Amino acid sequence: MFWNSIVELDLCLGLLLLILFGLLSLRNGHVSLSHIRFVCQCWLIMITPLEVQDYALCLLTVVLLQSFHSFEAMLFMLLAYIGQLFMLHSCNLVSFYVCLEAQTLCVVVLCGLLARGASTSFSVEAALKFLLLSAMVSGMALFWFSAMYQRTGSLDMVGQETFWILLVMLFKLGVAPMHMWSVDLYGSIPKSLLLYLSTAPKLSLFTFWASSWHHDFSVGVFILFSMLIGSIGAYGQPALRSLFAYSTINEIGLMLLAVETAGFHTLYQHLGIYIITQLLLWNLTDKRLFALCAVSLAGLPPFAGFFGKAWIFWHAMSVQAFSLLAAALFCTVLSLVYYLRVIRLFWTAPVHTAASFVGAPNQTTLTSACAVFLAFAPVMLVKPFVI
Amino acid sequence: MFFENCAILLCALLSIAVGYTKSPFMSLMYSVMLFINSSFVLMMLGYEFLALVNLLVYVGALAVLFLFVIMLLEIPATELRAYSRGWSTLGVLVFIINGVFQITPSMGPRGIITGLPGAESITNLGHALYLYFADLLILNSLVLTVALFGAFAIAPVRTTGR
Repeated sequence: MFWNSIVELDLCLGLLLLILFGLLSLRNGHVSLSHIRFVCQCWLIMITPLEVQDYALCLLTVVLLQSFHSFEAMLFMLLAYIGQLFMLHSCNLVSFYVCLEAQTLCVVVLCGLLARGASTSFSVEAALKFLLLSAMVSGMALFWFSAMYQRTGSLDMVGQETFWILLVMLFKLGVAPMHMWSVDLYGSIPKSLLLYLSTAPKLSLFTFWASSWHHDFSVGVFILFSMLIGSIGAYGQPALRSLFAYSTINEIGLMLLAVETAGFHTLYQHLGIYIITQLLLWNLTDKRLFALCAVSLAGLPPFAGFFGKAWIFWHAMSVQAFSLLAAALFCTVLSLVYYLRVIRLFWTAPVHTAASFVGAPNQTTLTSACAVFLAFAPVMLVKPFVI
Repeated sequence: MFFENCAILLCALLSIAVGYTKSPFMSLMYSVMLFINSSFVLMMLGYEFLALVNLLVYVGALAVLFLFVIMLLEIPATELRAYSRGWSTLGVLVFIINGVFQITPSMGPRGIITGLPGAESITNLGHALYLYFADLLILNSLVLTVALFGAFAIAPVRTTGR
């Protein structure tokens, strides 16, 4: 197994050189942080892509690096990237565990690192909660890995212990009976970390699930829980962050429906549209674009979010999972109302841009590209529904 | 196998006792006894390297760490409120339910032998760590690097209060 992955392990050597370069050259007055950021992004592109998800993760991390403003934060992002890259292709339980711990620990450290100013205690509290909960849950996963190894002598994934390991994976995704950490965390971390937390771990976990994880029971209970809690829980929330946290739980429930009906192409499509929506959402300077995000997330027709959901529902109908489909449609209608409230609030708001937003030119390119994608991608996606 | 089973039963009783006492100091004492007992069980089962490493890491580092915590915070004078409120009893009930309903995995037939059958346990450990799972060892070192760098990186944020 070592010689199979030696090309990717070579990336780690490159990371060492990158650390040395960053630490030694930041002392020089002529080298600014944007140069270091450019070199980090070049390092990221030197992967050996085997599938589309490699490209997607690399591109996502390149975009996410734009929003970090210190070298240590970028380094932890790159270390988490290595963990996620190995998780995309892992087929063994031990490697899954090590990669999961790598990315979780990087997120925890970033929570503590990016605390600044008035929100220090909130960020530290969020980091502590996340660390304790995820450490306990990973310990539980390790117990069931060893139980499976004791029973079958191998680390491939068959058997009754997969239920408990699945619970651990669903915890990390933020699925509904175990979703409280994500609601707390979304409210208290800075935007750049929120951007990372809501996109990249989900991509790597769903890719691992779709390619190497086999279990022989259904996740229907979790789908129902997630969609109900995601639709109903957002109604009492005064803050925009926790409202979108509940909408994330709703979307994760929908993606679980895609996994349950084995429609992995629909899963990746919806996940891609969701990631672009999140990139737009947490990078905004113009408040009216919140309305665009809400329309896309709600699944209303001219924008791309509708087609993500429509493909999942269409596939569920073709597999004849009618009860789950009915529940999903009901919860989508329930969640429509709070999206409409967001639309009403932000479309009619007076237009003013945040004057003190650092790094505005780069973010404007990104947000306008995301908005254009959300508005015009349906041209590519509409074909099965018209013909 | 009877003696090993008795030692494992003692492990279980000690681990219940760690959670079911009123004083934190007795909790620490039971946990030290548990660590030594687990090392003993591993030695009986034939895993000498794991037994010694357990002793070194758990008793030599972790128990000493907890002892320092108790010593510096002057905990022996206090009492764990969870015991008097009844939460500890609820925990013991969970153990009993576990025993009755068999939620933990049962030991099945072990037919698959991984590793070299005739070699010592440390030879097998060396083969696993440095031959079969060598890339995971490097990834694990990455996780340890994150923990180390993270401790260094977070520390200035808290003390200067930026």
